[in-house]
Amino acid sequence: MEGLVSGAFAEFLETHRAELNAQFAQAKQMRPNLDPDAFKDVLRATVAPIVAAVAQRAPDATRTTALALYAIALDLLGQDFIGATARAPVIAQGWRELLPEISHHLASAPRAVIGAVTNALYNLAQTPGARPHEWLATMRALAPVTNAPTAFLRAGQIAAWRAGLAYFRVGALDLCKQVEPAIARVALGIPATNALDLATILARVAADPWLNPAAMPEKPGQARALKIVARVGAFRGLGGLFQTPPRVATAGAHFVVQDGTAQWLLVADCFGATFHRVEKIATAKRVEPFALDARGKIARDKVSQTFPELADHASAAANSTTLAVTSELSFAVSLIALVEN
Amino acid sequence: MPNLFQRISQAPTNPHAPPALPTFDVADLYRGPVASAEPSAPLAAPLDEKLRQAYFWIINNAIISPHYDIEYNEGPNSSFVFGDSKTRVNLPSGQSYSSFILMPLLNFAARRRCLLIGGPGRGKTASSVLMGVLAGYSLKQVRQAMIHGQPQMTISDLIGNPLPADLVHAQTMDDIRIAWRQWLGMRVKIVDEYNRIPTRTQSALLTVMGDNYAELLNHVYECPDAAWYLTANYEGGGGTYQVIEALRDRIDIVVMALHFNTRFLNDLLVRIESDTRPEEVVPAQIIFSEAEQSRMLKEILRVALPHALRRRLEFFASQFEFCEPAADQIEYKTKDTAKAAGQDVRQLFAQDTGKDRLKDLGNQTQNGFSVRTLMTLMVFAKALAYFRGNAEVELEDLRQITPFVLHEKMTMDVDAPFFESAGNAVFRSDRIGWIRRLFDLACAEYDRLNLDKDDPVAELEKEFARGLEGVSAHEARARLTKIERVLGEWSKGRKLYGNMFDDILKIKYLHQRYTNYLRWLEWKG
Repeated sequence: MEGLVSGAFAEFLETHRAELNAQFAQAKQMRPNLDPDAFKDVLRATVAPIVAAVAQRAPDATRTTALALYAIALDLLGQDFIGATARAPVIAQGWRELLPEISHHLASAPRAVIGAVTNALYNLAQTPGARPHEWLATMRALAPVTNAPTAFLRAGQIAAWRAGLAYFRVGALDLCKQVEPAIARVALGIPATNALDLATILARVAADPWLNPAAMPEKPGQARALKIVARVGAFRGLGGLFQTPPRVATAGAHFVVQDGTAQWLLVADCFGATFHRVEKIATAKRVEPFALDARGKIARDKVSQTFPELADHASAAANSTTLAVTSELSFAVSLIALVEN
Repeated sequence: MPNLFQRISQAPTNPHAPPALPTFDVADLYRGPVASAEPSAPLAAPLDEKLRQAYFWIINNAIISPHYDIEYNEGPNSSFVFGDSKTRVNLPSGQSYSSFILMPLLNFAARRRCLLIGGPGRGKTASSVLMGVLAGYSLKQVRQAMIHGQPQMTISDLIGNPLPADLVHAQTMDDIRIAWRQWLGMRVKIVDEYNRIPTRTQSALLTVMGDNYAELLNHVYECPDAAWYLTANYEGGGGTYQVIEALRDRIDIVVMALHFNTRFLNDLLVRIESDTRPEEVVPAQIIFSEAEQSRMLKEILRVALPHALRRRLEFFASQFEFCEPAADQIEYKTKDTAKAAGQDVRQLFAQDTGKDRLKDLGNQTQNGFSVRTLMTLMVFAKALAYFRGNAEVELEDLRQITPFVLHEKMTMDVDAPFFESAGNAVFRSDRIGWIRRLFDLACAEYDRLNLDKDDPVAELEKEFARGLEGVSAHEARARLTKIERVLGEWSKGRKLYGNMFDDILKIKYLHQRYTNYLRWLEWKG
C-alpha cells in the first residue's frame, strides 16, 4: 500500500499500520464480503487526496482527519455506499470533489464534517427529484466564504432545500435569517449583481413558494400570469408512487394526494416536490382563492387562463398560493400558481 | 327502573390521538448511515456488564464454543431423552453459557488460578492468551511472557537470573541484582503445559502461585495479584512429570476444553479465509484496566451469599470429611486422620457396617474439603452471580460452579456402591456430572430433613450469637441443659453421618463456650 500512495497519507498508514489493519480485520469479521483490494482503491483514489489537502492546510490535523476518513470509508464500503458497486455513487463523487476543498473545515471537526457531508449526499440521492450534484456545486461555492464548520453545514441545509428537498423550506428560511447574509446569499444562489437586501428577498420568497431567489428581479414585475409551475408524481410502474390516477385535497395549508391505496403529503415549491406517506389525514376539497371550471379555465385575482389539458379534471384543491389539479388521464398532479411574467 | 339495555358506553370508547401531519427538521439532512459525531466515550458501562460483553464477544468472535452446558432456566424448559442410556438433552429456558469460555472469564474477574485441560489444539492456550489481552497487555507481551513448560526448565528459566557481572564483583548478597522474568509482574500469568515442568522447578512455581512472591539469592520479588492460567493436555497422566500435590492444590478451578462441534466448520473456514486472529482484534471497549480489575474484584466480593444458601453449602460440604472408623475421639474421625496414618479410606468405609452406603455421600470420596477450597467456592459463586448481574448468589449459581471448583479437589472412590447403581457408572468419567449429582443429593437430603425450618443447631447458634453480655449463670446452665438434651436425643440410635459430625462438633463448641462462661461467672462471684 505504501508504494501506491505517498506523502502524508503514506506516512499515516505506516505509522498506524497495526491499528488500521486491526480495524480492517474487525470490519471483515462483521462483513466477510469486504474486499481488501476495493478498499485499497478507495484509499488511494479518494481518501489520499483529501488527506493531502488537509496536510497542506493544517498538518496538525492530518492524523485525526485520516483516522476519521479511514474508519468512515471502511464503514461505507462495507455497506456498499462507495466502491465499484456503490448504491449511491454521488457519495464518492462528493468525497473526491468537495472534501479536498473544505480541508479547513475537516481540520476543525473531521468526523462531524465528513459524516454530515456523506449523510447529506445519501439523503439527497435517496429523494426522488432531488439534485445532489447541484448541492455539491453550491457547497463548493460555500467553501471559501465559510470560516467554521458550523456555518458551512448550516448553509448546507439551505443548499439542500434549493437542491430539491422542498420539505426543508420552513427550516431553511429560518436558517437564512440566522447565518451571515453573505453566506445566505451564496446558499440561495442569489447573483452578486442583485442589490436587494436579504431581508426583502426572504420576505418575498416566504410569501411566494414559486419565487426563486436566484432569479428574482429587483423590482416585482407588474404583470402576473397563471402558469403550470410544476407537474409532480407518476405511475408506480414507471418509478412513481401512484397505482391509479391520484386525487388531491387539502389539509390546512398542505396538499394531500391519494390513489385509493395510500395517502401522501405533497410539499412543493420552486425547488422541487416531495411526497411523504401519511395515514388517515382528514382533508377538504376547497379551491379558493382559485376558481376552476370543467373546460380547464382557472381564475384568480382577476387573472384567468385556460389549460385544455386540465379540462374535465378529476380533483382540485388549493392553498393560499397554489392550485393542485389532477386528471383521470394522468398520474401527475399539476400545480398552478400566479407568477410574475 | 333504569333500562340496562339502553345504556351506551361513553364516547370515545377506543380513544386514539388524531393523525397528525409530519413535521420536518432541517437537521435530518445530516442524519444517515454515518455517525457524525466522534463516538463519545461511552458512559462507563458497569463492570459486570463489561464482563458480559467480553463473554459474548469471545463466544461470538473468538473461541468457537457453541455449548450451553451451564444451564439456567426461567420457568419450564423442554427436555428430551435419547438412546438406551437415556441421555437427557435439556433446552434451557434462561440465558445459559459455555463453561469453557465462562470459567476462565470468572477466573479473570476473581483473580484466581484456573487450570485448562483437554486434548491438544482445543483452544486452551488461545483462551488464556485472550485473558491476557483482556487485561490490557499487547499480544506480543502476553506471548513473550508466557511460561512454556518443558522438561529442562530450570528455576532461573522460570523466575530470573542474577546479573553475571554482579555475581563476580558482589561482596554481599545485597550487591547482586536480579534480572527478574517479565511475567512475574503481570496481572495475568500463563503457564502452558505446567505438567511438563520438572518437579524442582514446580516448587519455585508453587511459591509464586501460593505466596505471590519469587525468591532468588535472598532477593524477593513481590508479585501483583494476578489471574493465573495453567494448561495441561490431560491431568490424569499425559504430562512428563507428576504434578506435586501442593501445586495441584493451589489450583482453584478446572475447566475442560469442550470438543469442536463439526457443524460449525464453516466458522473455521471463514476464519482461515479472512486470515483473522481474534486475539489481534479485541475491541478496546472490553479491555479492563488495572483499576477496573481491582474494582471488579471488590464488587464481586460484595455480592451477598444469603444465609439459607450458605446453610445448604455447609450441609453439602459437611458430607465428605467424616470417617467414623478412623479414630476414637470424635474430632479425629476424619479421612485426613486415616490418610495420615497410611490407612486406606475405602477399606475403612467397607468396615463401617450399618450405614446406608448409598445414602452416605461421603462414601463416594476419599477426602473432604479444605478451608481454601470452601473459600474459593464462595468466591466463584459470587463471581458467577456478579456475571449474571445479580446482587446475591442463587442456588443455581452454587450448583453450577461447584463442580468446576471441586473438580480436582474431590478424589472419587470409584469402587463406592453409588457407582454400581443403575445409571451411575457414567459418573466415574463425568466428574462434573458427578459433583453436580452430589450437590443435588445433598440438597434433597437437606429438604427432607427440613433444615430450613427445623434446625436445632441453628437455633442454638442464633442464641449464642446474641452474645453472653448479661447472661446469668441460671440462663447459662439452662442453655447447657438444652444443648445436652439435643445431643441426648441425637445419640439415641441414630446413625452418624457427615452432616451430623459437624453439627455435633458445633454443639460441643457451644457447650464449651457456655461452660467457660459459667466458670468465669462463678470465679467473678
